[in-house]
Amino acid sequence: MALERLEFEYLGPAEKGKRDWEYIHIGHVMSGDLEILAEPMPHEPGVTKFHVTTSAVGFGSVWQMVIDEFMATHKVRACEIWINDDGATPAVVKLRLAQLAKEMSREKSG
Amino acid sequence: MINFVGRGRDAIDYIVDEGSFEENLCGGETLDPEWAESAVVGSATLSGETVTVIANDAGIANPRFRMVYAGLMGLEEGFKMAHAVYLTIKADKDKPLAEKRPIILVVDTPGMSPGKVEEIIGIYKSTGAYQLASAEARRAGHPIVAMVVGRAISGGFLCHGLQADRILALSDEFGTMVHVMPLVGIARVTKINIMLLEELSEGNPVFASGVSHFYNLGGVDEIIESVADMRPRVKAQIDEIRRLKAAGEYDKVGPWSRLMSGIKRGGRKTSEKVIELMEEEFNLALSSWLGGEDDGFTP
Amino acid sequence: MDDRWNLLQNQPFSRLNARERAYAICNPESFTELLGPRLKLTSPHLPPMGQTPQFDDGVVVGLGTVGKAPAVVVSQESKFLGGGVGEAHGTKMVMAIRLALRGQEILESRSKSSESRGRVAVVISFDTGGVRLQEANAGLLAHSEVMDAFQAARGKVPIIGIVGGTVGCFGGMGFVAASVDVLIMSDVGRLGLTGPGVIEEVVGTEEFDAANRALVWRTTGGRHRFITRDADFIVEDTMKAFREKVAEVASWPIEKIASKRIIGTGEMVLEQMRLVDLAANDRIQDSWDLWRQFGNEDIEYLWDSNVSEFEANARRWPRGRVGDND
Repeated sequence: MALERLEFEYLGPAEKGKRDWEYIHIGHVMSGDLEILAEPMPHEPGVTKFHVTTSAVGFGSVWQMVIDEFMATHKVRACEIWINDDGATPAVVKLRLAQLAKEMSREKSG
Repeated sequence: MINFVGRGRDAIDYIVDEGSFEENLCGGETLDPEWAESAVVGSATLSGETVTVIANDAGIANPRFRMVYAGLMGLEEGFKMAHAVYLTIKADKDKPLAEKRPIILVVDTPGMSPGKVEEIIGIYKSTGAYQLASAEARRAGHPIVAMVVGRAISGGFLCHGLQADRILALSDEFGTMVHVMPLVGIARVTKINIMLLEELSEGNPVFASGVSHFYNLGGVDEIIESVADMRPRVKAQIDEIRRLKAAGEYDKVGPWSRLMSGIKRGGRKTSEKVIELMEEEFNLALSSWLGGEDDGFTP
Repeated sequence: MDDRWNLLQNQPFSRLNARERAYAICNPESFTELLGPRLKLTSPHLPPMGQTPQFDDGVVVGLGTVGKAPAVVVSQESKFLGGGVGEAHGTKMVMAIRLALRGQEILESRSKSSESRGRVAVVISFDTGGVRLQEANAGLLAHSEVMDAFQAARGKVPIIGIVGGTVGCFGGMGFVAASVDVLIMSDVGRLGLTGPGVIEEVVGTEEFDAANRALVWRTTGGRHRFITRDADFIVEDTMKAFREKVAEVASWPIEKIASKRIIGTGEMVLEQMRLVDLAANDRIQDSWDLWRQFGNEDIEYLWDSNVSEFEANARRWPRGRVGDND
């Protein structure tokens, strides 16, 4: 019944350019949905950390896959991403992550 | 063992001076005896001093509103209780703090009436009016003590009890019930396993029913172990409330003081953090929010 | 220029989330959230129950400016556990009102040009079913703390309520909304104590058929609440409509704001008792029976008309006090 906590960490070349956003928050915790909070981690320029809390227990490999895919498409660096999930499907997770990437680039460009 | 569930009216005599209760006499005014009879209001004495008493009689239904029975609070009941409080405030308007008469709430109510006509008229105004009246009386200096003798349930407890300066409750052995919803109900609505809820409720007072849980959260100030203790403890609380109010310590009585007790008793750890962090952030944001001391406020 | 703010103004209020509502009810770029998601002050009570917590515990609180008034804004998120009031959620609300009072005291302590700085207002967007059952006891106590804070704010800091979200405002939050100074609702907003589903479950379908949407709306919806004066204003379901009305009300002198209250004095209790009398002995079966009593004849027309037509033509409960029938 308790929640599952998953951690994922990615290493890559440091992000170039200045980041304008202080933090980004997206979504809601509701059945089939999730919230994402992204915070900059300027002291670790090449690192991206994911902290997932989910009520759907036992789907670690699916999360790994979805987040791997996200990281392969988007150059997200030097930030920590917190996810509170209430049983979102992989499709919804992808959608929310895409929204996050969009917000990041939008905020970056001003 | 004596049990006052459903017998709010009988409990009055165990709390005030025996035989002193005069129903429908309120701050010198006499109310229509046929008005919402299950809402029992009147005057009595405690150690010889005049007090206002408010109770529920679960044995009387309201003939004008069929969804008001078994001690449920309806539209008229809440407004009648509010009216009794306002009459009390008015009667002592010009008296000094030390002479503001106490209000004693004898609590045994299963909640608010769940009827359609109640929703059409807006029963939230009835319960709201009673709470605002009680908060006003408390802040005007009247000592308000709630004595939970039976059921103190959800919205019923909110309007009849939770605005008091101090809340005393007979311990669980007297059949006292304090909760929003029994665990089975919570389990059904939230779809959380009842066994898990039962297990969790042992270590966490935040959701399960019971006087001791409310005590740990601060929602009950004192647990009373015997019927004979009710009268002297209510009296002692009135004296203590008067002392605090005379010293201007209004945050040491009423709902806010119970939040503080809940923190002290370890039942409301999250609230403590919320208060601390919000204070901190508020202070940081203050000058940009209100403008600096001398530069005037510019929208 | 704040593009995001502009974009939000034309959106339906009901479709926005709590944070967007809080941000857009204030003047552009004036909103600062307190205890926002970054602090991650989640409920510790939910995870052991298998319920994912949310970083803001379902309520957004912050400081901003509304028109010319500094404001403390509280906005409930109904998507998270139906906007239910748990421990942190409740304490955030209570603190918001206490901090508004403190802000007002600070303004008053500054002798110079205090009036030009405006008066602090509290704006609360209700979108909740009341107590969060997973934290029922703490949620219940929080209601009493909010009511006490309301009473403390009386005559000092106006409290402006909004009911325009998809859940509406039910349970204990129903009487909290009834205790504000001025209440603004939309057609989407619903206000009550016992929700239709609960009445149906406890009493039966013959008492209330919760599946009957028209019945639900004419019993608890903004139009009915406007007719009985529980809602002072009915506005279109847009962010802009709510913001403009809130800014207008916040600019009023405090005496005028207080005159809109429906409960909170002995006189108002007696006044409300007259309304209650109309419903005794089953004389009222439906909200429209009341509408008729107040002189509304073509009810179907009123029901189907747009908000401004409705507002112009609706005959409201003649509250019985001079100046209230405008």
